[in-house]
Amino acid sequence: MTHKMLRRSSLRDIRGSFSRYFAIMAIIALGVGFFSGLRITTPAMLKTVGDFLDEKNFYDFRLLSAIGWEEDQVGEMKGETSARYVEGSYSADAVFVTDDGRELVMKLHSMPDKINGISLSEGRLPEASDECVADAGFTGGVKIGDRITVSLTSADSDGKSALKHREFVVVGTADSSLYINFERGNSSVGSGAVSGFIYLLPEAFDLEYYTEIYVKLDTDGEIYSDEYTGYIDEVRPVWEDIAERSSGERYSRLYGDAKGKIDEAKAELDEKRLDGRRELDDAKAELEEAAIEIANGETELSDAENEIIRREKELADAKAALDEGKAALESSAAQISDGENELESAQSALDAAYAELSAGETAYSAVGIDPASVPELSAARSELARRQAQIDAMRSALGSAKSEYEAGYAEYEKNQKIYDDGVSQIAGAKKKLSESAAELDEAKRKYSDGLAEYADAEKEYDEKIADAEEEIADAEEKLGEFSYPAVYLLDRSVNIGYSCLESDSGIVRQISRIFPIFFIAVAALVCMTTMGRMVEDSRTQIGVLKALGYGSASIMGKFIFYSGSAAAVGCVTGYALGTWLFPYVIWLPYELMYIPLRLKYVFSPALAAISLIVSLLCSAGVTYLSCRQETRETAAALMRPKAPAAGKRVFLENIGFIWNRLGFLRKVSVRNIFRYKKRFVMMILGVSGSTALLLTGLGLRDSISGFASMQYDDIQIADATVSYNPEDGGVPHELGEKLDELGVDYLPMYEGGFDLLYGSRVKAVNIQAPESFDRFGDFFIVKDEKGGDIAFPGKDEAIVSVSIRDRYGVKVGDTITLRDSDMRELRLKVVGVFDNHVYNYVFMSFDTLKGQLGDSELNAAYMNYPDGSDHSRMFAEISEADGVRNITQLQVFKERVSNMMKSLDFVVLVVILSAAGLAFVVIYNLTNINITERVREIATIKVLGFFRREVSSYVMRENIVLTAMGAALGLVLGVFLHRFVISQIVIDLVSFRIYIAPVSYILAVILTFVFMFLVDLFMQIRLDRINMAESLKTVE
Amino acid sequence: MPAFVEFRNVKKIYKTGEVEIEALSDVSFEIGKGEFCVIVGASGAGKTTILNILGGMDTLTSGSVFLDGREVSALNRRELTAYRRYDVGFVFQFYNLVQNLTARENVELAAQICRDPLDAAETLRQVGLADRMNNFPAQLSGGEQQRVAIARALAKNPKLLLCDEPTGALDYKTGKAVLKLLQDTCRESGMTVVVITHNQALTAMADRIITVKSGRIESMRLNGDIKDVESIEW
Ligand SMILES: Nc1ncnc2c1ncn2[C@@H]1O[C@H](COP(=O)(O)OP(=O)(O)OP(=O)(O)O)[C@@H](O)[C@H]1O
Ligand SMILES: [Mg+2]
Repeated sequence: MTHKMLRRSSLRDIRGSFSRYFAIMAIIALGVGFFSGLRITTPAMLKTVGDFLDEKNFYDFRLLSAIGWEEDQVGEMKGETSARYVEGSYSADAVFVTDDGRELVMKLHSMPDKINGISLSEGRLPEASDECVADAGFTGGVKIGDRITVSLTSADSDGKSALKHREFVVVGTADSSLYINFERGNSSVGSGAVSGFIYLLPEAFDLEYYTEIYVKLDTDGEIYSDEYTGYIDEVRPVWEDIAERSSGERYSRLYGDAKGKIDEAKAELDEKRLDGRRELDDAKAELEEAAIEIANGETELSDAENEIIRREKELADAKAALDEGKAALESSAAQISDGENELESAQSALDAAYAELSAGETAYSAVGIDPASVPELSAARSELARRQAQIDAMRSALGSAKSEYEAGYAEYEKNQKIYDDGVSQIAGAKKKLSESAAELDEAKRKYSDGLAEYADAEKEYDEKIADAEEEIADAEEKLGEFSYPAVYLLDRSVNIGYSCLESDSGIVRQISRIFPIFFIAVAALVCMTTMGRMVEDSRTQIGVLKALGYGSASIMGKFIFYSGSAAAVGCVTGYALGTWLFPYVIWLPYELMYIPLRLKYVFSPALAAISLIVSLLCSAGVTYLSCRQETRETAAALMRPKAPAAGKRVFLENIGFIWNRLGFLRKVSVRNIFRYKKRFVMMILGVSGSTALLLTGLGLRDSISGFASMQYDDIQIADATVSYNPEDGGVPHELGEKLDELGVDYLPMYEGGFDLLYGSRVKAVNIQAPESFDRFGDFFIVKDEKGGDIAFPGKDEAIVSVSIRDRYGVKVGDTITLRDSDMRELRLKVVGVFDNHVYNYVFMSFDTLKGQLGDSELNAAYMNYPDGSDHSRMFAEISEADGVRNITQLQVFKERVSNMMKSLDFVVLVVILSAAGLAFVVIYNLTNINITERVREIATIKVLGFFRREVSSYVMRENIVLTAMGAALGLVLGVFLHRFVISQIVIDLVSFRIYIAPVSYILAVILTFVFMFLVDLFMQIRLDRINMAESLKTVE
Repeated sequence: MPAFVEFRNVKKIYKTGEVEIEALSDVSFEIGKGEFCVIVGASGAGKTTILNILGGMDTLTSGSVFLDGREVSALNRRELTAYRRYDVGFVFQFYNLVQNLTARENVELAAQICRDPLDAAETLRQVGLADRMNNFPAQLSGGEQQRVAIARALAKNPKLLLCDEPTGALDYKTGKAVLKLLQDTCRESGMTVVVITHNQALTAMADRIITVKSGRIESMRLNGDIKDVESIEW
């Protein structure tokens, strides 16, 4: 542009054909904007997150060992050259209860020193061991100042034992580099759904060893970059060795310790066994002695008894004799007393007779008769005297009898005493006997007690020994099983946030690979046709300039300046707008799913350079090619009018029955359509591109807006799910009663999170294993994508959701491996794939689950509330039942999900606006070229007397046909593009149905035509402005 | 007999930005029906301007133009189009055929919008192109193309045939043939033909000769001695 006049001419060209200049600018801006914007989005997202991760020293390796790690090991690893930082860390899962009684499963971590830093959002860091920092993105809604308590009721909460305190105060909230997106992973404790994380001081943990070691390597490679992964692959073997060796050493030490303990125990056992045996044997000997003594005692006793019996018999005999003697004595005593009585009475009678005699004698003496002289008296006296003699004889007889008797009696009394002595002797012997019998009994009792004691002691001994033996055996078995510990060297890919970002940003990367090329191609084509046309139009001018002596270079420069400057301006505008707008808009929805980070805009000199180069190639390069052709020709040839593009017959003309049926003007249009190949291709490409984009954009909306209602109205039709603490392996009693009382229809199941292993990676999936599949259809409609029925899985079989098939390459017939956080594995044959849009589900029967894991419990249930019931009242009622952990109201969920998806509307809007822009620029530019190219022709038909409408339809009919063709092609392309985009837009946990509403097809076509008609309106003005007189005056 | 074509004090000023160019100052003339009229004048005299105004392709600044008693200068846009459509046929120096249409189609293009067109094939035969009917313009020589252009104008069966330097791009012989065709057409069908040329020699074949100079009519005369084209040499 050294020549002033040329420069002026160039500027005048620009002013004079601003629409053309603008078209180049616009299409380049659009192309560059789209290209650079989409291209820069992934780097911008990665930089945003990458910088954060760098700042927080996100780990490179995470070392896990079944036996944990010690401080010494950490120290050792620090010495490694490739290590920048090495840190031991504690982690555990625990169920917490909030003040208002909600149960939350949390991931506990010890406060990091350097690695995996957290960024405090509010409050402060913990200073005491009962303080904690909670998840800023907390789904459980825990605030600063809240107290949370480790749940004791929760069966399998390892947090109980891992922590020193039960109650913690939340002193701050933070975002963690370990959790950059919303996913918090799964847990084997509680309901399994992790609500968030908690950071505690290391002192809060009651663990003897670190649960993991984090390593930050000495690299600053960009995340996901080849440089980074290359470096990781390079040092991985080294670290695998370190981990293996270090863990091996610890293992040997632990093994040795355990082995020593067992040996000690064994020795102790042997000693105890001997001691015990000896003691038992002693006791036994003692017992045996006692038994002999007892036997002796028994013989003695029976001897004594016999003696007593014999003596008793003797005594009885003696007694009989005594009694006899006594009887004789008594009878003689009676005789004696009888005789005495008789004697007495005889004496008395005698005495009386004496008295009478004496009285008679007195009387006789008184009368003076000597009594002795009275015979009678003397007779009586003699009688009396004889009688007295008699009595005296009798008395003496009686006296001897009496003394006899008394002798007998003394004898008797002597014998009686002997007898009494014997009796008392026997009584004494008897007493003695009973005493010794009692003694013997006592001895016997003691003996049997001793025997029982002995038996007990022996039993105890046996038991104790057996126990001890078992214990040792157990310990030995354990030691035997205490094999070399599994050591894991995990890299970043197992971090959910990190790997999600890779796939999420990958979507944009995918899109950025396809769409922009399309735009660039269209831009190049637009420039090519535009500039080609411009150069052709300027043939004469070129010729004149040449004839005037201007060099090819400066002439070319004029055109190259024209297109180049348009492209440069477009490129700068497009780059600036694109690299701002696209990352901004696309980050919006991601920002909701990732931790809130300020998007970092990236300026990529390389991308800018590529954009500029491509723009210049598309414009100036294409111009150069067109110009070279022209400037090679001689001035004279140039100034001669170039033969306009020759008319040609088109293939359609050979198809007589169509061709002949076409009206004359239509024939003209048909021929014109095929006359300009470039324009035809471009128009079709451009229009189909924008229709495809429109359809994709609208289809995205359909897929996105519809999926929540599809999921919750057509698939997961249950009203709610409830998770609970199982009682006897199933629904808690109270809950069951409550549900029955409320008339809730429910189906118990196991629900939990497992990791699906695919390739070398893992992905969290949700498992549902209903008690029975019979009524499953009342809660979840299992259908394939075409709405066909699917058989429920049998033993060791599973069916998986569409997303699992699509994203992790799982096919029907494959066997999948699922692992829970305790590293227990399920291996299942996939027998079906069912339609589902939210979450990645794997369904299997509860029997399969239980069979493979050995043990499992039903911990959740699908619920259908009675018709017409108030869902929130139901919620409140059911929550009250004991054992209820959590209730998810699916309808509420539906609304939440659809709200979340609204964020994607931005992306859709961008797509639609881009499509609109593309459609407009392409149609505008092509029509513009078309008209410019055919001014003479148009002027001619105007001269011929075509009315205004006829003229425009003469020109625009081609547009309509081309637009129709482009739109038709665009619909086809759009279906594929939409399918591609949907398959790429993987917002984790959500998969959209490939669905485009019929109205979207119509709308896409209508919009395309609207753009076309808008352009036509613009062009009508141009048509009107074509001046017949001027256009036809010259050849130019 | 009232004149078939009449210009009355026609003035035409072109305005391009600030500059005003007076192409026609005060032009008045008449042409009778069925006449073969030649307009001659120096370059830039205003011949084309006159023809364009007469043909309804351009408007005038002041004055009035009549054709067959109708005031062309008073017509609105749409009426002007209809006027061009039904009443006027044009032949240009550079043919202005539609490249994408065959000779016959080019003729049909014009014919099909008229009320009472002539048969396209027949017209082409008349201009001697019976064999080339299905050729595209690019496949025809300049003279042949010009004859197609004439056929196109004729097929409309217009009241007035306007030709602006129809031989300008043709060689002598071909030019002569074209002129002959025009003359014959005028004679045979009684169509009024206006031909612009700056070749004075051609005035010999005209019924009426109008000389334009600097936007004015310098002279207008009827030719007393009309010659056949063949006999004119230049
Ligand atoms: N569109 C226009 N804008 C400005 N001036 C014009 C325009 N068309 C013609 N003129 C001017 O009007 C005048 C008459 O032009 P016109 O084309 O009628 O001449 P002409 O007699 O046909 O000449 P030629 O024999 O060279 O074709 C000229 O001076 C020309 O410069
Ligand atoms: Mg002229």
